Amino acid sequence: MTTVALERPRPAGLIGWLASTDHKRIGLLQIGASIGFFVASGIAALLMRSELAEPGMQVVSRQSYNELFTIHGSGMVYLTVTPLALAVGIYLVPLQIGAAEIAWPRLTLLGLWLFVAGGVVMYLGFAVDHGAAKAGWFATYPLSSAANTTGKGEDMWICGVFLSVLGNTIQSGTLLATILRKRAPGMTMARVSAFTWSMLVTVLLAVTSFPVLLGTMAALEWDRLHGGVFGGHYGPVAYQLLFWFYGHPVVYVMFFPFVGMVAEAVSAFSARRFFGYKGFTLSMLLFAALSMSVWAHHMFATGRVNNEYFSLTSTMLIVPAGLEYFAIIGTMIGGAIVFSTAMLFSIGFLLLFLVGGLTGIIVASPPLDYHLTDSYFYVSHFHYTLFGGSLFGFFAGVYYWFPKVTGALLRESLGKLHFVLMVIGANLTFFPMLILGFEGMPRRVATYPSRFTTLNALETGGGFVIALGVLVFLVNVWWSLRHRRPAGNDPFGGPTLEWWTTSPPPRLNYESLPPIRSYAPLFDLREERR
Amino acid sequence: MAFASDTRAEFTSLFSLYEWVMIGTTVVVFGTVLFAAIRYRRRPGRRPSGKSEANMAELVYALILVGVVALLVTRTFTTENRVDAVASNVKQHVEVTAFKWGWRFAYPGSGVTVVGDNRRPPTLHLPVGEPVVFAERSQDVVHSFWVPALRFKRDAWPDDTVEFELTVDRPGVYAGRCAEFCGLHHSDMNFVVVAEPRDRFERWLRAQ
Repeated sequence: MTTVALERPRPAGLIGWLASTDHKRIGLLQIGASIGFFVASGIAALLMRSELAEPGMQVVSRQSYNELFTIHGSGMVYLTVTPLALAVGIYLVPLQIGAAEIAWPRLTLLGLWLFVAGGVVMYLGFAVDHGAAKAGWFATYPLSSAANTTGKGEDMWICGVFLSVLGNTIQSGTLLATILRKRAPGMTMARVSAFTWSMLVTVLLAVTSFPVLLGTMAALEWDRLHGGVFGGHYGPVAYQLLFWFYGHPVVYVMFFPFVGMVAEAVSAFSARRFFGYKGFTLSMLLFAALSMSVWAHHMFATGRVNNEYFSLTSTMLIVPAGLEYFAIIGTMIGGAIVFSTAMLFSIGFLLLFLVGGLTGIIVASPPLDYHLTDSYFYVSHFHYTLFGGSLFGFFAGVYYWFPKVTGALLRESLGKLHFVLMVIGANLTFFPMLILGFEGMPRRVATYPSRFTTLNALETGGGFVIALGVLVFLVNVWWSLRHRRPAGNDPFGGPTLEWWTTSPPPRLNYESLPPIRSYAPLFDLREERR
Repeated sequence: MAFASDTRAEFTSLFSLYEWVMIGTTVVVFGTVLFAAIRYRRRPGRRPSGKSEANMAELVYALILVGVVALLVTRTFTTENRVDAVASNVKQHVEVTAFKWGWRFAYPGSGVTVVGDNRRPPTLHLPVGEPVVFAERSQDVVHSFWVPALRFKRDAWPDDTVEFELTVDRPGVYAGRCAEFCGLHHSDMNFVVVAEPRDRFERWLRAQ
């Protein structure tokens, strides 16, 4: 079966990229923009870690420190991991389902530019009087009110969050429509790849929870301008409930796509069909449903929510998370594993995310959370999930799909150096935080008692090891593009549809399609030929 | 075993259960991944398995996970009921007021109030070995009362008063601080807890 597509003219040059409606160009631009914000937010983290290398104030002022952690957290959540997750979906989903284009390509492009504009507005806060936003990435009320946080930087933060999340919401809608309406003939939902399934549940979460944040941000800005929204009795609690109704699902938006990437990389490098596909997709759906009902577990210590309910739903996340590990490790067992950089990052993902997941189960228990919430233990917990989990998953995906996207292979030697630096850096930075938090170091402080010095100094060292690792990665990308080693259509024996087309894929993705009889159509072909 | 407080004893007992579950899971997952990585690495002549699911094994495994959830949730709920309980017949009350960036501790009925801020942290005197009920409120933004040694914190709200009960079991001096980010001087919003026997506590109260 073949699809014959008329080749559309592809505008050249800068405009050809910036105004492209090709989902691959939009996806790549968004990945580039997210990595740009990742570097900027990472520099903010390095400044914070430099301040925290010893007790007392040395590098920045208290106010600058508060701006730095606010922009670091906001930059990573709103401007890095969420748009990055969606960007990989925008690039890969149409390819994986055999579509020529994404649904509503102009809206998808609009989403990209809204997100970039939001990021720029947020960062420009550093240039105005009173500096950038400084009420934390969730801007607790009444700390974020006009009376308690003065300056336009905070308003610019609200505007930036609104624009970027609006962009993400629109893109989630176009991805949802793409998965539901644009699948190639034969590509039933039960044959959709693990990554595309992970994107489907991701965008379902996004379209249901992101609009709540848009409303909350609009209300917060109204409150800052005119007052009277969150000021009364129960107002501050209402703000937190509304915020976390977005704020917890977004944690999974920042996680599911990376589980999907790891699932695909592990399948390819174990040279076998993804194991437990049905259990994996069902557990993804269960995961998404549960993650819509856990939001107030961020509020156990408030004394103002029903802790038991949110503790129950949060602890139940053990079941779908455990089933995902079952499927991924089950794929390794019985395989013929090649230890490529992508596979190493996948294994790193499994082991480091485990630390994040298990500490997550601890803070899902209110009597334990009373002590650990808002401490460094909690900072460690979510960095193991977002850094050890999401970013390791992203790097697994980059080493796996880079040849498809560019037609060139990344260097394995630099890749392995990158991996080793990331493992050392991540554990050096985030493991001591577990101990510090348990011993009583709160998050968001610019100084601390001198007995915490040694572990803090270790963390600062770890932060710079991570920075070195990221540098090695960027060098690897640059070097591999300059001195190209051609990849061919399918360098790793991939299971899914995108490995059928050329690398990089043509404007409309496919000249022809193979028959699609399972979720691993290219494995089917290879087995037939055998 | 002697603990610093009732909340610390409850925390330690519940945490040890979670700790064992965590250590067990870590050993199993690290072990399985390591085993898979070594045993199933690519070697000449190895053909990958064609099996693509094991539904019965997965179902049994899912049921084990449900069992773990049930165990953890049951222990959490029973512990939380004890930690959250506030008795009505408690003798000693303290009113805690948090503000940017300090604390006010008032002892109702005695007229004694202790105030301190980020430059001079206040001291919270408490009688040892008996329950104390705290009524906590904030004057401006959300703060959080945290005594790490007692393994307990509770947020302070501007729009409502929250109550909690603590029993400090051992005399001593403990560090306390604000745990909810509250603006410029959050880093220095500290206080000190001095827990002492009832008679010494009374003497301190009278001397104020």
